[in-house]
Amino acid sequence: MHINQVKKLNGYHVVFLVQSSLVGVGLLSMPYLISPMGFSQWWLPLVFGIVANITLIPMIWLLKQYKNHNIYTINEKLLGKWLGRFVNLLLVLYATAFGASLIERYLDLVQVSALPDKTIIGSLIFFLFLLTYIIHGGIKSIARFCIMTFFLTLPMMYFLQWGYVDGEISHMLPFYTFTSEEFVKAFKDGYVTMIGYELILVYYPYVIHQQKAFKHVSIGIWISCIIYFLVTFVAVMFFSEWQLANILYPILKLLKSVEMSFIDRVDVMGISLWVFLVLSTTSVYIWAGKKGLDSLRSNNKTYHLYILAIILFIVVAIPFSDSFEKIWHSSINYVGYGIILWPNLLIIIHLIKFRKRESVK
Amino acid sequence: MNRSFLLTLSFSVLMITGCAGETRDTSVEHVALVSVMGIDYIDEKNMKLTVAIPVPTGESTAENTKDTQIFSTETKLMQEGIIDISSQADKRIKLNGLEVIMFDQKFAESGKMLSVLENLYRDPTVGGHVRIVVVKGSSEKVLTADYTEEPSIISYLITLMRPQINNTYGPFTTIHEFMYAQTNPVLDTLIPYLEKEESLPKVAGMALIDSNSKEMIQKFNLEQGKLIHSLQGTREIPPFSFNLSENSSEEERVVIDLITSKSKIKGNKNINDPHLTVELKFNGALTEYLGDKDLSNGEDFAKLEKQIGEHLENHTIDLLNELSDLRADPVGFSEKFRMYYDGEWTEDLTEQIVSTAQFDVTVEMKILNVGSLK
Repeated sequence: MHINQVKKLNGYHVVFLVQSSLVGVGLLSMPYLISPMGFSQWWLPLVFGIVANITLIPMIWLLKQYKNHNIYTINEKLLGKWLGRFVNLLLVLYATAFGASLIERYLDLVQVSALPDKTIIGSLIFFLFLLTYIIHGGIKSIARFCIMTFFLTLPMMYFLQWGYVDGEISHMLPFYTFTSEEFVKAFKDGYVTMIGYELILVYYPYVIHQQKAFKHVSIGIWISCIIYFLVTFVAVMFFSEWQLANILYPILKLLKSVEMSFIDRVDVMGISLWVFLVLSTTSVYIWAGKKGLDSLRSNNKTYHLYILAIILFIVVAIPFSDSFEKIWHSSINYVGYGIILWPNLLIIIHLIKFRKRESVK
Repeated sequence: MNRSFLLTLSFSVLMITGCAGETRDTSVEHVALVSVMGIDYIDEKNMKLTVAIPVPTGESTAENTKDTQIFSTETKLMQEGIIDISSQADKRIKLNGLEVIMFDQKFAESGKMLSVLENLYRDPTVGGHVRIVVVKGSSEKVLTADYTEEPSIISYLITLMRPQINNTYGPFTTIHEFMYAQTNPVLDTLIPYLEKEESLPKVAGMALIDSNSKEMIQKFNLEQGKLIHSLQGTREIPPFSFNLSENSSEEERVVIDLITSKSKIKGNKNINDPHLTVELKFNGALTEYLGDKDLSNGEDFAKLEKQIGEHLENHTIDLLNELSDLRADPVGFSEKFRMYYDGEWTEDLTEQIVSTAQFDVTVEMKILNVGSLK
């Protein structure tokens, strides 16, 4: 019905696109990432939500000035053709590298915890086939997949009750036991779990109710933040400060604490189910990368998607050294923070250009 | 476009076969899942690793009807020992099904438990419900002894270590709980202590592992274990049986079952002059009584209730004094001070709290029924 229609995404689609592009591999290690704050970390996800909401304001303001354009065309309009295209190339590289980083981290974890005897190549091929299939259907197909992912994976929250029952509520106090350096470190490392909502810059032209986009994106952000808050709250109850600072994937340990008569290793089930979350997050990124490639080559070709899938395969399959991977994963996060702040620069350029035009008139 | 895409895809699929590993995947027949592991002390650097592996029913032959395979090796490192045992067993040893890890008392006293368990905790294949136990004597002997009463020592130990109301003499410490308590400066770790006399091993008490030195410093008896467990906030505890007139020649014994307990601990938030108010409330059914009191008489009944409460109170005070002398805190009293402390909490502060705290203890016992006879 919406095949030839540009505006395809209703409010629900936007909410779950945002929500799913936030919750990826980051949640698995969130309590570890924000562990410099010790037990006081439990309220940090709420601060993340507020910051995300604040940084969303310039994004939506800019998009409202260019209602039928995405970040790629806005870049070209405001920065000029060549500089704009150069920035767009960087954005495509970022989207692909971020997607590759997500897939690599997830598949490494699957290999270590669920399939220790296998290499990641087989899982990677299946993953990329599925990913290509989802993206092939366009942004609406991705949004529907995100909705399905949300309802399929939400029941996992039920498993938090074991951690809650075994944990200590007294860990919530004292409220404030960290230095400003520790807070900055936790914020800097942990805000990566919020990266994803900036992709509204790419799919905004497809949104039907653009005037309500801020509200819908905010709902998506806050659904994720509440999930993050609950997970962090239970993790703080369940672990000691040493465990928070040393366990790379605390959520897996939380799932290991689940005791049911008919199932023994809930963590293996959980990590397998997590593939939906990684697929939905990655698909939004790679779709955004494909749109960037379309804009760079000034045409809309399906094989752009295949090119990105092949690049993903090569990047993930190459066994980089551990130190290189660490640098790659952390620098990609900083680029993500840069993209979140990028609209502020564009707004300044827009205002300068707008004033110049006004004065010429 | 489609043709070139299909050609590229076919070529890629053809080429990808080169990425296949040279070794075949491990099949089920070539895997041995360890259920129980025993670690014994040899010297400062070496340990004896013993593993018990259940034999699938189809694999037992006419000559070998054993349902458990036991392998032992001397090793410096855990994984090194596992590799050595793999070569003995001619199978790949996996820890996915590990349920119980036993340490002999000497190993627990050497303070090396944490480093061994940290390695296992790091291993993602090890489950979260692996129970930790200290045994008197050698854990290898516990695993290799002949038991006529039980068909399999593995299933016996797994059942024994599974928390049930009849055997909850103290916390059943899992690998996560052990790591949690050992790395939490407000807690010392309590784990079940097994003893094997003539026949099957039994829970004989609780071993206390100090978080500071990482060594086993004390063994508590079952009644102390139950009291610590109640203080930790456990709601249901197994039956109590004790002699109320310990100091006199006449015996007055009671057995109380179906006990629910409630604990309330309050601190005065002052680490320099710590005061703790400890309230314990027990409800239970008197299932057996040996003594002179007439239980149908209200006055005698109230007297007995009070007497039981006093008995438990005295034992609780004795226990707290013992903990104070040991400078150990398996209950988490110091958490009541850490919650309001501005700064980093250390084990030394915990020791300071436990050793200097003034305890105000009240224990109340309420007998809800005495059975269906008058």
